Amino acid sequence: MGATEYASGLRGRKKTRTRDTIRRATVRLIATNGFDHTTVEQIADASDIAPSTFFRYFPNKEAAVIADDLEQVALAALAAQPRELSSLQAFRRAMEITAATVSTDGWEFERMRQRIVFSIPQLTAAQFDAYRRQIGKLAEAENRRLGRHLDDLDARIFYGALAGALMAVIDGVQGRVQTHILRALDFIEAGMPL
Amino acid sequence: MGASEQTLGLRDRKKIKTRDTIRRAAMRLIEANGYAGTTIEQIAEAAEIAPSTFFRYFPTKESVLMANDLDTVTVEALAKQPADVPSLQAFRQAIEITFATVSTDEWRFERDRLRMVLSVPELKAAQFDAYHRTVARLAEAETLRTGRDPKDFEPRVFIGAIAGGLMAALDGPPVNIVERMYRALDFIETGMPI
Repeated sequence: MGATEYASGLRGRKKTRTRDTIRRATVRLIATNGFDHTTVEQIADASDIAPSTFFRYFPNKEAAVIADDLEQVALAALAAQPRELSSLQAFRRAMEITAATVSTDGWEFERMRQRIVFSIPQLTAAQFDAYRRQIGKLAEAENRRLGRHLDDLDARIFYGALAGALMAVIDGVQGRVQTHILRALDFIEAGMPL
Repeated sequence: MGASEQTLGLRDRKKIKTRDTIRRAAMRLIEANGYAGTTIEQIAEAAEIAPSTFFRYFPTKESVLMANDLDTVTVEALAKQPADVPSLQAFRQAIEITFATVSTDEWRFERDRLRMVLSVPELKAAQFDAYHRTVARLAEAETLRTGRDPKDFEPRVFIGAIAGGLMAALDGPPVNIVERMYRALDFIETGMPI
C-alpha cells in the first residue's frame, strides 16, 4: 500500500487512493463479517464508489485481498541494482527500497490482510499461488539483471530458498518482522552455518 | 507404507493395506467425480469396508488426501543422522534414504496425490498448512539431532530455505525430479552462487 503512489499526475494519485480505499474496506469488512458474508456491494458502499467502479479495479473480492502492491516496486528495485552486486545483496537492497515506501499504516494493513488470508482457506489457496508466481517473477528479474537466460533454474531455487526461509521465520513471529528478516538474510549470506 | 513391512506382524500389515486401499479408492473416486461429489460412503464402498471402518483410519475426507507418508520417512531419517554430521549433509542423507525407501509405485501415488491436492482449492489451503507443519517438524528434528534448543532461530531458517528451494526447483512439469532436487541441494550447499 502506498507503494504505487509514484503513479504520476493527479489522476494517477486519485486512482491509487481509490484502489487503496477499496482494499482497506475489503479487508476490514471480511475481518468483521467473514469472507462469505462480505459482498462487493458492501465494499463499494464502504468505499463510497459504485459497484461497477469496484470491478474496474479488481475482478472479485478475493483479488482485492490478494493483490500485492509492493510487487511492482520490488521488481523495479531489483532490476535497478548493478550487476556486480551478489544476488543476496541485490535482494536486500530491493527489500530496503520497497520497505521504505510502506507507511506505518501500510504495515498495519498488511498484518490484518495476512491474518484474514491465513484464516480463510480460499484466500490461503490464492495466496499460495501468488507466492509461487512471485518467486517466478523475482527469479526472472534476477536472471535479467545478471544477463542470464530467463528460465535459469538457479535464480528460481535462490528465490524459493529465500521465500521459504523468510516464511519460516515470519510464521507466528512476535514483534518487528523486519528484524527477523534481516537476521535471516545475514545467516543465509554467511552460508547458513549451524 | 512399503519400507518396514517385513518387520511388522500380520495385523499391522493388514492395517497398512486397508489404509492404502482407502487412499487409492478415494483418489480414484475424486479423480472421476470431483472432490465435492465424492462421499465417505462411496469411498468406503469402493474400498469394501464399512463407513465406520473408514473413520478408524481417517477423521475426514480431507485427511485421506492430506496424509503424507513420505515426509514422515524424511523426518525420521533426519532425526537418525549422527549429531556431528553437518546439517546439509544430514538433510541430503535423509532425502537419499527417502528415495531408497519409497517404491516407484508410492512415488507415483504421491505425485498424483499432490496434483489432485493442488487442483482443489480447499485442499490447496490445507497443503499450505501441511507444508508449514513439515518445515516445523524437520526443524525440530534438526535441533534435537544437533542438541540445540527447539526454539532456535537458525535451524528454522535453514530448513525453511531448503524446503523453499526444493519446492521452487520442483515447481513445473514433473520431469527429472530427483536430478532437480539434488541440483537444488548442491546449489544451496555451495552458498547459492548465481
